[in-house]
Amino acid sequence: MSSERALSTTEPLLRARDLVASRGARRVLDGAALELHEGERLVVLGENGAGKSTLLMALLGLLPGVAGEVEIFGRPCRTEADFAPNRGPVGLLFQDPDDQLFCATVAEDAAFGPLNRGATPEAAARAAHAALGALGIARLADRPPHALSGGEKRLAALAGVLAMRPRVLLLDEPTASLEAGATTRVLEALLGTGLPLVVATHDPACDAALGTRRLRLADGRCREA
Amino acid sequence: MHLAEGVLSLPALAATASLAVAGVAIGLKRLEDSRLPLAALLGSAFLVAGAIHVPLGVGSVHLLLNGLAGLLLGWAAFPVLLAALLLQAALFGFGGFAVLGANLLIMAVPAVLAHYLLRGLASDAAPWRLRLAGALAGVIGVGGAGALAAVVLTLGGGREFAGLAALFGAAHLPVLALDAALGAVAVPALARLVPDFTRRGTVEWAR
Amino acid sequence: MIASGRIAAGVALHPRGRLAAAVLASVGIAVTSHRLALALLLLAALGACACAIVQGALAAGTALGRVAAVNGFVALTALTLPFAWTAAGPVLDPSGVELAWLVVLRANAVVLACTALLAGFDAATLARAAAGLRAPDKLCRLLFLIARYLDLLGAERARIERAMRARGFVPRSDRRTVEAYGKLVAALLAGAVARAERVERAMRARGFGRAVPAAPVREAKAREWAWAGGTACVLAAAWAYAGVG
Ligand SMILES: Nc1ncnc2c1ncn2[C@@H]1O[C@H](COP(=O)(O)OP(=O)(O)O)[C@@H](O)[C@H]1O
Ligand SMILES: [Mg+2]
Repeated sequence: MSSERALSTTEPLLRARDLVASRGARRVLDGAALELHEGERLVVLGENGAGKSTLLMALLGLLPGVAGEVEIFGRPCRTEADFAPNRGPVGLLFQDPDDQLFCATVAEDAAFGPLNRGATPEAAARAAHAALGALGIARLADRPPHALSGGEKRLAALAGVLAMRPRVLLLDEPTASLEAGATTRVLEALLGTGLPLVVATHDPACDAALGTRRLRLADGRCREA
Repeated sequence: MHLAEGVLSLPALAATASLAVAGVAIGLKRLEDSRLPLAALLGSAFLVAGAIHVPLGVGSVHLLLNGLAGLLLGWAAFPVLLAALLLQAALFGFGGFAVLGANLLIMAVPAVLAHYLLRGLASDAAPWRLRLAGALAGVIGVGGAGALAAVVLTLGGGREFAGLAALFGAAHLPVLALDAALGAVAVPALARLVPDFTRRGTVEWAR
Repeated sequence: MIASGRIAAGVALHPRGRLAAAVLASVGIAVTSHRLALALLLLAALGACACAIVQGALAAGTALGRVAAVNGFVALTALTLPFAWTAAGPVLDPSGVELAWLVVLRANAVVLACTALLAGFDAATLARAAAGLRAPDKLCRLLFLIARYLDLLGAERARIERAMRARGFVPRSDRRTVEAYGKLVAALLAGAVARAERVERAMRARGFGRAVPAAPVREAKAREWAWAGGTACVLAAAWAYAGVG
């Protein structure tokens, strides 16, 4: 793994500055900032409750009442209308796959995103099966999500993200609560995509396998780690 | 589909309240202790789902889902919908307590009807039959509620209410269409998510 | 959404006394057919709301929102009632006009009275109040359980919707939206079924019923009944005054 920061003369893929977000009464982000460049895999470390999930969701405009600047692919995003077209090109894998997998079968769930972006049912099904195939879980296509193991759920949720052909991935603790074998499979799948990504984790294996650069999120701010 | 307080006469309030009490009593009697958590969880889920708004024109329509609730709950729809209406009355100020009986009848009678008319159709695993059952649950639930509301208004308010009853019915046509379309998706999906759902996911079928 | 009906300050005092008062006020107002008496009751209810707002038990926005919601239906009523439909088209009908007045006054008086009396109630408080009024035991346990899981399922719905939006879902008036929401409803119901099985199992592990304690019913204190007593006095006063005037 290279720990050098990929040199880039172009715009960062993602840039966030001065993010301030509250969950309930608590201020969770308080001036957080990050940049992600082409070819980078940025690890965001932080304790439980540090605000990693909040940060990733804020990057896609999914939380109400977040202040600060977010730029995606060089374009400032302030309103729902600014963020909406980026949901897909920037794929978010949620911390709890059960939140993401809500359709009756894995294949149907993987087709959900493409259908939202206007794909025909046939094209969406093709994209779904391609994503499942790429992750080596084509055999799960017709299974109901609630009957999958933890690792299978994570891969199925990832298929739903990859089916939208993202250019950037945001991953929220992709290896949490997985045993070693499943962790390896998920990490290999993520590396196999070759995509730049931001991964929130406190799993050393995940950090070591993926990271090209590290930030630590604490007290609502990100620092180089 | 809530009647506001103040439109019904005293005899109408008394009559609807007594019928509603009878329905709740039957529902509670038939509700076994072991099915109490299921009835309650379904009640919570329907309350939460009822808050989903689908955009329509300049406004939005929210779901009623009383037909679907009835399909799964059977007679338990009476106490469960009573609990839901009580919560809505207390937390959101929908309707008052005097008109609660009328509002419960309007919602729960079509719900129980949907259960008995559709349980045969929905016990079949064929997807088209499940889709049909879901769509009909919306039609029976919302259509029945609209018709009952019109009847209660004209019988219990007075002949002056005929115009209102017609308008009230017309205003719920979009809800009917939405509930039917949504039920047609939700029932087959539920059957796939919960294998054996007529036994595990319903309060009365198991009996 | 669900939790927004909740107000922070410790205002959930005497829940059953206040629930009884709200029921009494509803019924009392609903059976009143005298315009002056209703106008007085409306004023009293407005006063009660103002008190609750001043004391910080009620948010002014909440009260306004409820009044606005009720008046959608009321406006429909007030616009249709005064006209009788004849072959020659609509004609003004005096008995309809009178009825429309009654509906406007009653509906607003009830919503204001209940909003004031039940200020600060949340789902659990309502369940406790119903148990305190000796509603049937099974109904109370049902209310408790529904209240218990309402926030949880509400949060589940919010999480699923967020995950849907993250994959480009935008609600519109189209087939796609109905399909997505249909699946969301199915997912909520399936989640509810699975959780009910776990809850039932947990209840069984501890003996039926124990896991869902109906609140212990204490003897009512005089202060609790003061709510209902006060409401009855207001009703009686309005009726008496209107009868005299
Ligand atoms: N829905 C919510 N309501 C209130 N507080 C929340 C909610 N979600 C998260 N929090 C709080 O926000 C803080 C940050 O949460 P989160 O972003 O999930 O942290 P992390 O992902 O780093 O564990 C935590 O203290 C958590 O308790
Ligand atoms: Mg997290």
